[in-house]
Amino acid sequence: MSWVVLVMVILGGTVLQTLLPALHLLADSKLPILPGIVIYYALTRHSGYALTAGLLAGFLQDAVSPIPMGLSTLTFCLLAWVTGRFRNLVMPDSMLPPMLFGAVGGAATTLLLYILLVRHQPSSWPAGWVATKILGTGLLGIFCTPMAFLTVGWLDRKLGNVAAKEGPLISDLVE
Amino acid sequence: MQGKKYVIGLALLAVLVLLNLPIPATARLKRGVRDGIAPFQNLSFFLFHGLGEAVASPGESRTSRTEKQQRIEQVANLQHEVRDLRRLERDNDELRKLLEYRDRQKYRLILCEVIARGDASGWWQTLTLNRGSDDGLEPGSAVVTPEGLIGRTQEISRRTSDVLLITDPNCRVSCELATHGAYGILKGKETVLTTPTRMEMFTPLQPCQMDYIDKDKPAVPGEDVLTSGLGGLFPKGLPVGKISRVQIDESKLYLRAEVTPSARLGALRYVFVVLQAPSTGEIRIE
Repeated sequence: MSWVVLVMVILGGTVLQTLLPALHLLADSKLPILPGIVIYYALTRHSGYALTAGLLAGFLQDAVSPIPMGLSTLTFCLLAWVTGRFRNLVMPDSMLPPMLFGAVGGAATTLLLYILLVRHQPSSWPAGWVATKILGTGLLGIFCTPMAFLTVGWLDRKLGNVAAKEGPLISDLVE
Repeated sequence: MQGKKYVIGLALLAVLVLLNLPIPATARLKRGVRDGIAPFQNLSFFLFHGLGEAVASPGESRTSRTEKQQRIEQVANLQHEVRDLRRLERDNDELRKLLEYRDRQKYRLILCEVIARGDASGWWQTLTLNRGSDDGLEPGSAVVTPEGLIGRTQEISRRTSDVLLITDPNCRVSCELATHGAYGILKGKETVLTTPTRMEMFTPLQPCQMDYIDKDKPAVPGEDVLTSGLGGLFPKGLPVGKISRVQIDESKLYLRAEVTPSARLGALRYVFVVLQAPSTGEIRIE
């Protein structure tokens, strides 16, 4: 059931990320919903889930955008692997780790994607715009990743994938 | 521990395979995924817009909406006819002067609805349309509204198409000035007009930029900019925008003009994809 939830959540996240408008003030930064979901699985599950989430999220982002196939996949797998190494160090019921990893993860994935994109094609994006985009995605990650934790965590608890008392985050607040 | 190594190895293998897939396979994969996601995008867009329209005009019936759509098509048809007639008049004058024969092309317009704004990553300024190769759309076709050019089709699947907007820095359009015929290359600047968000109130609207204009041919603010047809992608004579500012380039070799697009890119709902058709003497909308 956990795998079904993973697939459905990532599919839904892809559709939502495509539909929601970009923020013009932050250099057209999009809400980093897919990185947020990947960070959730990296911090609350073992590496199999995390890397699968990274693979699927990256694959779908590449498929529905002009990004060459494989670039987002590589980026999100790296995000999953690096974040997963901190799994045992984070406080399970705190909101702070998702915010922190959301900010750093959002900015890092944007930067890495930019580096990979300019290797594939000449860049027409001005440096200032790219810098604003990196910071903007990081800023949006602070809000978006905790929301992903709340939503996916609630879904997992409702479907019995995790025990309610061992829920990954603010289970007392929700219940 | 062993299991973890296997997982990492498998993930690495999957990434390497995806990175090294041949382009036709990549294109087929992307088309398949887009066609799979298209029904969810259509449904979500329908829900968002339906809800918005129901709140904005609760008394509006389905009949009114259908009539509204028909009127949009009629207006587009008429505006293109007027534009075509003006171009015919200009061509006629030139032919009379030069006594040359020119073959006029007629175009087929396919009405499409916008189902998503922006790509999932936010790096390109794009739109997603609800029609694809099943409806005859091809990559590299001009996309217009009754007001003017908005972009070109980029990636096409069976049921959806992506449109790269003219405000994207990666989009280049060969243009000419309506009055003096000076040529230039239009490209997007780093912002804008894909979504009518409140955030746009806090940032100045930065238009497109047209480079390499001959500095001996005067370009003035307010002048119309049209497609020149020279690039091979966009048909000749499509309105693009108006010049808002002209300045000399840093190299002092040519002029640079800032161009405000004619089309309202922030409020697009219906657009037309332009396909070249055998000459039948009329514009057809499908």
